[in-house]
Amino acid sequence: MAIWKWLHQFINRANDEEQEKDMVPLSKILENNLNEIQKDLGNSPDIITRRFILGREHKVSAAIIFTDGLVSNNDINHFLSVLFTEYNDEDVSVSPIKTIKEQLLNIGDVKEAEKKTEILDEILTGSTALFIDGAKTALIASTKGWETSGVMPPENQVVLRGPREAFTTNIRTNTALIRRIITSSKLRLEQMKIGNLSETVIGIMYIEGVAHDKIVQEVRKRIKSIKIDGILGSGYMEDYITDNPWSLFPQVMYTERPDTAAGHLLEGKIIIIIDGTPFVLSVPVTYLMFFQSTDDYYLNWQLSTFLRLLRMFTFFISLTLPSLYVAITTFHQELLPTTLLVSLAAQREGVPFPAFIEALIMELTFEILREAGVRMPRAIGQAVSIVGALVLGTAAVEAGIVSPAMVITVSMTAISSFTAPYIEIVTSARILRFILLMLSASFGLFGMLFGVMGIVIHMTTLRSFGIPYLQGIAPFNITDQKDVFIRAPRFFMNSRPRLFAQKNPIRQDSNIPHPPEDRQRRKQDE
Amino acid sequence: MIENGVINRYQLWLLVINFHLGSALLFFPGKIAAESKQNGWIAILLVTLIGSLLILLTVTLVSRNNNQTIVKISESLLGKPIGFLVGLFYAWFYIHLTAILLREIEEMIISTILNETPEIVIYIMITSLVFWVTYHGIEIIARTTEIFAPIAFLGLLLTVILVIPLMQLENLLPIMAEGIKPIIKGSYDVLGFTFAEISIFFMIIPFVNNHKILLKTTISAGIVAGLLLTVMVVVSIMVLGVNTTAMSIFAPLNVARLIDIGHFLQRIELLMYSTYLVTMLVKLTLSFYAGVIAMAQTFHLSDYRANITPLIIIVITLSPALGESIIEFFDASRFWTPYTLVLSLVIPLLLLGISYMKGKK
Repeated sequence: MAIWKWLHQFINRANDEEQEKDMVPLSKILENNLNEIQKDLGNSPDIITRRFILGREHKVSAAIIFTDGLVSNNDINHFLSVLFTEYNDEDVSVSPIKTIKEQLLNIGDVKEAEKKTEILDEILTGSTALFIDGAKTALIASTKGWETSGVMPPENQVVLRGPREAFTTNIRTNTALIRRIITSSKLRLEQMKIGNLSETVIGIMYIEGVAHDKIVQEVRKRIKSIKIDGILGSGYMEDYITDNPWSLFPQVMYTERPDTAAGHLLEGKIIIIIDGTPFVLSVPVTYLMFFQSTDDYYLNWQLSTFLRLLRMFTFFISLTLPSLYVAITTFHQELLPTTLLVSLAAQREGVPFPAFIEALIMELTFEILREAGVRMPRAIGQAVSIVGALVLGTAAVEAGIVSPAMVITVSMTAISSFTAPYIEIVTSARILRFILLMLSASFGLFGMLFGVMGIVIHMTTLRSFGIPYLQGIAPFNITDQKDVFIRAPRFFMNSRPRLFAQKNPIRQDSNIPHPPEDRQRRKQDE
Repeated sequence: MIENGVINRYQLWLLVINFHLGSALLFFPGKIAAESKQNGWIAILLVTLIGSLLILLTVTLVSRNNNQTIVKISESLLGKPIGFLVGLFYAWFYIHLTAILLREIEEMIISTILNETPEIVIYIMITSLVFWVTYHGIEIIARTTEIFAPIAFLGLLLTVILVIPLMQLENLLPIMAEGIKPIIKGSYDVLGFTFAEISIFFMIIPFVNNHKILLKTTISAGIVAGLLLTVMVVVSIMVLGVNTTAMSIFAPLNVARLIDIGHFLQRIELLMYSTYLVTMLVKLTLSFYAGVIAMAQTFHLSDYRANITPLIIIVITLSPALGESIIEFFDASRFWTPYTLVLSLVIPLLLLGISYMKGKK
């Protein structure tokens, strides 16, 4: 142990020394600075140094350094042309750096930097550094501009009505998309860099006074505690920030829609934006939230309620239908009406396998097809779907491997699993389905019930940032019921979900007479 | 405090109802019809009345003593040695009750669907769920109940609605033809299986977050549970008739089996079956949890979780030893009512008396 401690200290000290070395300020001589920077960046060919001479009377040599590809060439050209045409060195008392900073630059974000690490960071994220001979500081001009895909329509979370905009891979665009929806000054953005090699920019967004302070703090703490070499996507974060990473159930929600993200912010949730990912994480989540499609809030409330209940039902179907089929056909034939039982038995006559094996084969086949459908190149998609239709269709039945009823069961299960608005919720069903299948094959409906009870118990033990995972039904809360199983009409949604926004639960004025005819009648009375 | 979790009053309400429905739901009608015949429903109402008084006693005793558990109360009122023995007695009772309930589930599953499954498998499956919930504490028990109880109520309601066509009002007649005696005897028989087991809540009530209108919550829950049981008894007698009800161990299952709507919706005892299993699981967990906590408090342990595994093993080994067969098992229940009444009536009354006397000083 002692050796371990000593080693630890030693490494820490080494790190400190390295840091101290990096903290060394710039020298006054231009060449030295440029050489240092080039050396630190390993003389990479994409780091471009351009030397020039500035001024008419008191000539000083200067240079800019930037990373090719991360900068906007227009910005740099503009910057240089302004520098040459308008630079005025009449007043010698002021240092050239100051003059440039105060008078000339018409580029948005300009700052002075004196530490080498800071300058390196800036160069590597697309800024341009301007060095001037004799100055101990460098000027950092923000010239970021690289090729990104623009704002595209969402691909996965499609809605019928509602904006057709999706998040991009650029964090700035993403924050802008949200800011465009919520213009309040209460909207907060906190930024930090995670990953000691990738230095990925991570933004936490929430609405001050609506989001729960403790949860915000917890999110901040958990994100800051991540010590990793690089974060390449939102999935990297998930394992670090969820309460129970062992659980099959999703504990963060991904969305690619700015309007959904804004809706979450208004409910008091916190949004985590990761640079380079077009998906935004929102926490905390509850299980029933995964059944709330964004469309629910754009369509009329009766339809939304119906669809939401339908989605819950289909989730249950996709979880239990195969096991229900196996349990009933092998253990509880008496539950079926006699005619159905006879026709089922006739269908199964030629099938050599017990129902469980039959179900297992079909479920596995479907999972294989599904995975193939995701991974294969687009061009051969048709071939797979034709083969898939044969395997999961009449050919399999005619070959006597499976019974038609089983094909119906598996197809129904498959279709049901596609109604989920958030794909993460399906993953749990996909795996648990097999466990339930095995339980019901060995213990009939008792086994299935046992499995379902186990799943429910597991879900009650889950928490997402301190919020119970089944918030809404367990613990039950009557005021939250307006947006759990049903989607109540807008004028009933007077308060935010209770646990998310404890400080400021009032969403709208509840004194407005509703529905609107009421208002008119009142006017007439007056 | 041994447990950090708290439950709210709505959760307590559900727990009390669910606890009373637990095992009573399925075998009450048969048991009560054997003694009180067609007047079973009056017997249940009588039981409900007595049960409400027991709940009153329970809540009064707990709230008079600083919302402590019965183990702590007896320790502070009776002194260390006697208090320790009383606490141990309660802990034993809770564990004993758990074993009985477990045996009951097992008998029910073996006799209805899994005829050839070894009983130890059923024991292990059920207790693994109990272990899991108990490990996570009272909050998870309450939340699980919040999900299971509404499902159970729905199942009950649906069954009752679907058997309406089969009900025959004549089966309930004549009312009180043989006087009050069979009614009292019937209610004495079943008292031990629901309301007299209320002593479990000596260990649960202290964890409620708001003690103000506790009495209203618990008594209303008791009355709702009593009414639901009455409905169950009435429905069973009306559908099956007195004799068949009295002969069947799980009468409501037989009722559900008769359902036949348009030759399609038939034999849905599955509904009843899941209702029973779900409420039973809650009752089982609750009594086991009470046992675990009581044991931990009796021996002044700082964490109750260390108790779970040994007590689960005791429960699993005790369960099969409660009787060679289902007949013997049910026959032994003759002594259950006085046994439970000692714990829910005699000792609490004594403790209440002592606490009043001490209070006067």
